[in-house]
Amino acid sequence: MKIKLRIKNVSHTYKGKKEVKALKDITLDIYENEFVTIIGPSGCGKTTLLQIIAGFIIPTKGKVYCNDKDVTGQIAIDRCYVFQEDAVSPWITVRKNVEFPLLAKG
Amino acid sequence: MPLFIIWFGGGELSRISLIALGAMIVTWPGTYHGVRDIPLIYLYASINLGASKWLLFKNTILPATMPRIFSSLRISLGASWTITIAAELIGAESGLGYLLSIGREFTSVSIIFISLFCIAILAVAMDTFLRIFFGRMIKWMKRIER
Repeated sequence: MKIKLRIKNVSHTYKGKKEVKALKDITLDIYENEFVTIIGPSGCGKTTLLQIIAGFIIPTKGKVYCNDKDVTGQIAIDRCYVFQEDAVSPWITVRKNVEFPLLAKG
Repeated sequence: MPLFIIWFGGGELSRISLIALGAMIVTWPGTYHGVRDIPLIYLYASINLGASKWLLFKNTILPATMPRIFSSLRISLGASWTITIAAELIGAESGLGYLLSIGREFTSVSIIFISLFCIAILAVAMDTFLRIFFGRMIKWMKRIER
């Protein structure tokens, strides 16, 4: 089976007054049509990992590959992300919010 | 003002340039911070849904920044009026500022009061128009405030 998503040696540290090491050396292969659940206690880095996969965060170390292409830090529709809080634009109507991805796709 | 008269001549161009510069100086920081303060979630969501740079600007960045731009524009309207009157007081041959200087020259309180009254009415009218216009443009702000 083909590897769809490959996370290779990903580590991430949140920099600030106090450094927080969120992820340490995560390696994970996800195959096509595979259903993967990431479970862990609050603050263990689940969201950080998902945001790294989605490209919102550039990891301090490691790479993310999608279809064997390096997509580290790149936001694209091939790795859709559902936010924990709502992300609908309040300045447009519900209809236009629904239409937005179709508009983006052309 | 003297610099602008040297650069652009004594006509309308120098006054308009000065007002434009003044308005820009007031509007720019508000717009800049408006763009910087857009919650990242909206940008991420738009890009994640495949929005192009243009669509991201048109559908996300511009509407999200509008409230800040509008507040800055209202402030810059006041600044523009101040600059207009100041510019007309110095180097104009017509206009309300010029009328003020005429009033001062002839020590005519009535001329001064008429020009001040006209300035106040015009400024309030323009501000009211902006408020109504902007209120319609950013109706969504009221929606989310409820």
